[in-house]
Parts: sequence; structure tokens; C-alpha cells
Amino acid sequence: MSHLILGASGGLGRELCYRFAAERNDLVIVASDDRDLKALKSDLELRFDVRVISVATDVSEASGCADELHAAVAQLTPLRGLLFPIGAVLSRDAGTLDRESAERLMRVNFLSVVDTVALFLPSLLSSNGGTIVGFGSIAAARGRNGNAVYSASKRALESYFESLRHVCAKAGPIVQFYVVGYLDTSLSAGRTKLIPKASPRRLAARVARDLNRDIGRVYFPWYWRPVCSALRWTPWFLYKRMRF
Amino acid sequence: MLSTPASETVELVSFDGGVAEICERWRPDRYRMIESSAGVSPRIARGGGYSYAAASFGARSTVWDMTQFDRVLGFDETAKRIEVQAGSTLETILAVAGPKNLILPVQPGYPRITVGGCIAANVHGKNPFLEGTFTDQVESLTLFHPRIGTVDVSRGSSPELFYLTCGGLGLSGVILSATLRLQTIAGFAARVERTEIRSLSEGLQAVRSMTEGSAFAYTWHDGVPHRSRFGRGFVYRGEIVPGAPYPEVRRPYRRIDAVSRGALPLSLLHRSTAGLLTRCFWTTERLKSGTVNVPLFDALFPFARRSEYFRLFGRPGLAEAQVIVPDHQIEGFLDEIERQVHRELPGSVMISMKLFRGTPRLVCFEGNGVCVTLDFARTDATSSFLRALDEMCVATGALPNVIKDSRLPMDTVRRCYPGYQEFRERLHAHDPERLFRSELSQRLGF
Repeated sequence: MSHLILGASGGLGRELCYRFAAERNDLVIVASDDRDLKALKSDLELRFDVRVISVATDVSEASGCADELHAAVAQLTPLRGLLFPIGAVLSRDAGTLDRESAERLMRVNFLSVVDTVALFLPSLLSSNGGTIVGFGSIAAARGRNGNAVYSASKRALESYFESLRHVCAKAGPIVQFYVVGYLDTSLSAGRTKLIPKASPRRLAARVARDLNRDIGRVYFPWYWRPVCSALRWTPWFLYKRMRF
Repeated sequence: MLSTPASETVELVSFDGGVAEICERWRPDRYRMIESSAGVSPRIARGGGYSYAAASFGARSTVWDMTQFDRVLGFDETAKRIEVQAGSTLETILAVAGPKNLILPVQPGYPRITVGGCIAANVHGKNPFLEGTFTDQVESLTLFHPRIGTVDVSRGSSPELFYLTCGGLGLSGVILSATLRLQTIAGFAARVERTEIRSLSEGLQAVRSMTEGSAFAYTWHDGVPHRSRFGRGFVYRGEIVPGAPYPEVRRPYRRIDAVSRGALPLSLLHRSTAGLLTRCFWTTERLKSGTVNVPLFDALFPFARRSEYFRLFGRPGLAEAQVIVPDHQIEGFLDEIERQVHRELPGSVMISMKLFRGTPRLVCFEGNGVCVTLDFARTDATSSFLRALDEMCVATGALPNVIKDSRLPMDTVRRCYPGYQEFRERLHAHDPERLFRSELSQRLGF
């Protein structure tokens, strides 16, 4: 079986690649830098004896890569999964982001997923199987003073996956959505100290384990569910004083 | 579009526990992160962190943790070449090349040491007399320096930069990847023959007679200051067992790093307990058969199975000194060690010897002679003994290994290494701003 992983070169995406390759799945890996992809592809092929096709594309650009993705998927065994561990943040995203940067953030965090699902959903629906896995963020629980557009894009993604799950409810792929807390990646280093960061490797193992289960929306680690609920229910006069 | 990589504040400690410092560390996992690191702030690359000296942190440098750059980029079975990123471990290379009966001929004693570290420290393996050092198996490498960008470096294309980087202690830039030469191995087991010896000089004679024609030969001596037991031990001679297959499953080993090594708050090795430990080791070894077959993994990486030894030194840590003593000086050197041990009563635990062959260059630990390694518990007497050892090195023309001794003073290195000044000058010519710095480079005046 083959899976497509969008945002494969670092952090959670990379861990998903290793986990799925270790379970002898062929992969289409997509990321922006061809050098990272080539390194990942050769490593996966040498270590796990699987077929890997890499597609280098910058999803923050308006031009799509539908043809490349179609061509890549066509070379492998039937597609059984779409995984979207993709995301980007900008440090200056605090309510004053210019239009161009905001659009790029929306493309990376939201529209790239929508585009890719639109490409492959018909075949997944007709095959009546497979899994689509999205990854949101606890930042989308409630708007705050930082990462304004990022949070909005992740909330859009969450809503989109709710709809997608409804679309596929009767027949078609399983739709899963992980609301992810702080992960221990190169991008999150030093960013938080109060709440421990979760291992992307453990999340990848969890995703692989539950791939065929209709789990809907899941918080990872689990304790973010009550934390996010508490944030949503915090009265405004208190919430506005919070800095995080 | 790439999100901004962040750094974190961590305390890093040298493997021997001798140096600890609060550092800024970031973990690049993509090429663009590396390339985006402009500026003139000091930095230093770090791999597994198994250097006894603080070669990968310190001097207020931002530590680039390269362990995410650990992918195998290419493997050519026919040409016997493997290309790996610098954060790849020796264990990874063995896992890829081993099933094809290929291994790296030179490997230090722990499987999680990274290739970048092996190159930067120009490490040696079990038989440097026959196999040389790690540099000998480096075909080419890719180096990044903010001033010159990413460059391919090889003996042929840029010999100056190649030799400045191989054994250059990570000061010429960040090694991103390397192509390494592999060697066919006849089997994945080693037959190890043990011979009892009664003194350092007897061990020297034995290792001299056994090295040629063996896969490896080294001695182990009881180093605890004791009139009758000091110096006794064993010489181990190994040969590859032809036809032994690559093992599909390997017995797991307990991992150790600089932090877990120092988990015990106190050292359990004092003079009396060290004596007990070495006596137990000596007795149990004698009870074993004189010749045993061991998996090649255990022969290549003996410290993977003996990590408890390092843990016994606890948070105070251990001190290690490793020197190459010229052949014509070795007898006198060993006599002087014995004399100093009985006079200073340092916390010495064990001594080991093997033959070494190589051409000294810059500050690389290479030369012709006998490689003598001494392990100590950290005590005041140990410090005093090591100062005396420094003077012995200067007097005899011995080379102390800068990567094994976290307190080695600049003056000793300057006087022992004929290439010290040349290394310093070449480094400054290559990198006038001296962007890559560590506690080690600062201490040694690079």
C-alpha cells in the first residue's frame, strides 16, 4: 500500500515517513526542498526496502503541483492514505500580517491540504477505503495575541475535516483529525517550558496504530483536551489578561 | 516558506563529566535551516556528545545539534562506498552495509558516535597500526561555513581544507555529509584470545608480538596503585571468524550518553572500590576460557556492553589520558608511569596499550609508537598525576590526545604537537572571524 505525506521533510512528517516505511508502505513524500527530500528518500529506500517518490514543491506558492502528485501516485501501489503533517508559523503573525504573508500562511496550513484532498478524494471514495489524516493545533482552540493567521488557518482546517468526515461518513475513507499540542521539534525548541513537549515519534506511532479506526478528532497528548476546554470557557475579563 | 527555527537553553556536559556549561542549542533538520544561519555569533556542531573533552560546546557558542542530519544518502556495494549525513551513527552504517559483508575498517568503541564527530576528531579504532585512522577512510565530505557556503571537499580537490577538517575538531565549519570507504569483512564474529600478563612491560612485549597479523591486539592492566597488583592484566588478540553471518537480531545494549553516565550523584570508584572492581574483573576473566568467539558488534563496540563501567564514576566523572609514545621512549615512559602512580597515588583504575602507526600532522592524534590509555577517578592526586604526565609527554615527545582529556593545557599541546602553530594559522586564514569555537578550542588557544 502507498501513502502520500505532505510536509514530509521535518518534525512530525519525517517521523511519519519512518513509521510508515518501517511497516513496508510505499510513500509519496512532498516538501519544499529537493535536497531534504532526496536525503529522506534514499535513507528510507536503503533502510526499509520500500519505494519512495519525492515531489519538491513550495505549497506556499499559488501554482499547484497536481500533475506531479498524480504522476507520483500513479507509479506506486494503490493509494491508501493521505497524511498532512504540514504547517508553518511566522513570528510576526500578531494581527498585522500583510496580505501576501497571510495568503502564504493560509496556503501552507489550509489550502494545500484542501487542494490535495480534492485531487485524490474521488479515487478514495470509489475504492471505499483508505484514511485521510489532518493535523491541527491547540493554537486554534481560541484566538490569542500571537499566531493570529496561523490559528485561523488551523481552525479552518479543523472545520474542513469535520465536513470531510461527514462527506465520507457513508462510504469512503476514514477521516481523522489530530489536535496536536507542543511537539519536540526543531521549530519548537525553547518555546515552552511549563507544559512538556510530546515526542513526534510517539505521535507517528499513534497515527500508524489507529490508522484504520474511525476515531474522529483526537487531542495529542490527551491532556490538551481539558486544557483547550478550559481556555474556551475562560471568561473574557480573565482571558484578555493571559499572555501565552 | 519555512518557519523560524528556535534554540533552547540546555546544560551540556562533556562525556568525562569534567566540563559543564549552559548553552544555546538548536537542532536543524533541514538544509535551509543550516544555510539561513548567517551572522557572526560563535557556533559549534555537535553529534552524539561522546567526546571526553568539551569539543562540541562552550565558549558561548550556539550548539548546532546535528543528530537530525542522520540519513544515508547513498550506498554503492560494488564500489564499497557509503554516503551519509554527518549525524549518522556508526551503528546505522553497520546496519546498512553489514548485510552486504561490508564495514568501516576504523571504528571507535561505541556505536552511537556520529560520523561528523569521527571525522572532526580523527578517531581511531581497534588496530590503528594496521588500519590507520578515520581520515583514511574518508573519500570526500561536504562542509558548510557561512562565509564560503556549502562546498565539496576531498583530498584531490581541496587538500588543505580536507586536512583542516579531518581532525580539525569541528573548527573549520559544519560537516554536512561524507562519503566513506568500506571494506569487505570475512565474517561477523571475532575469535578473541586472552593471555595473562604480569606487568606493563610484559604487556608491551606481548602486544608488539601480536599486533601484526591480527584484527586487533590490546592490553588491559590493573591501574590501581598497589605494590603487587599494579600492571597485571591481559592481552587480547582478535581474529575475524570467516563465514560468520551478519546477525539478523542483535542483543540489545543499554544506551549511555554524557547525561546518563553521570546519573549517580557520587563516584563509586575510590581507591578501595576501584581495587575491588579490577580484582573482580581480573578474577572473572581468568575463569573464562582462554579463547572465546564474540559477535563482531561486541568486538567493534566494546563499550556498548560495558557502559556500567562509565556510570560508576558518577557525576564527578572520570579522567582519561591517552598518549602516543614513540617506540624508543616507551619503556622509560612506562617505568615513569609506574613510579608516579606509586608516588602520587592517583585514582587510576586501568591502563591499556595498543600499537599505533601514522604520520603526525596539525593537531591530529597520529604517529608511530604505542598508544597508552589511562582511566582515573577524579581526585586531587589524579590532577597532580596528570600534570606530571603532561611533563612526561613533553620530555619524551609523546602526543596527548586532545579529545580524550578535558583539562589538557594549551602549553602542553603547543609543546607536544609540532603542527600546533600551523593548524592555528591555517584555521585563522580559513576563518578570520573564528566563527566555530568550543571550550576545547578556546582552552587550547585556537
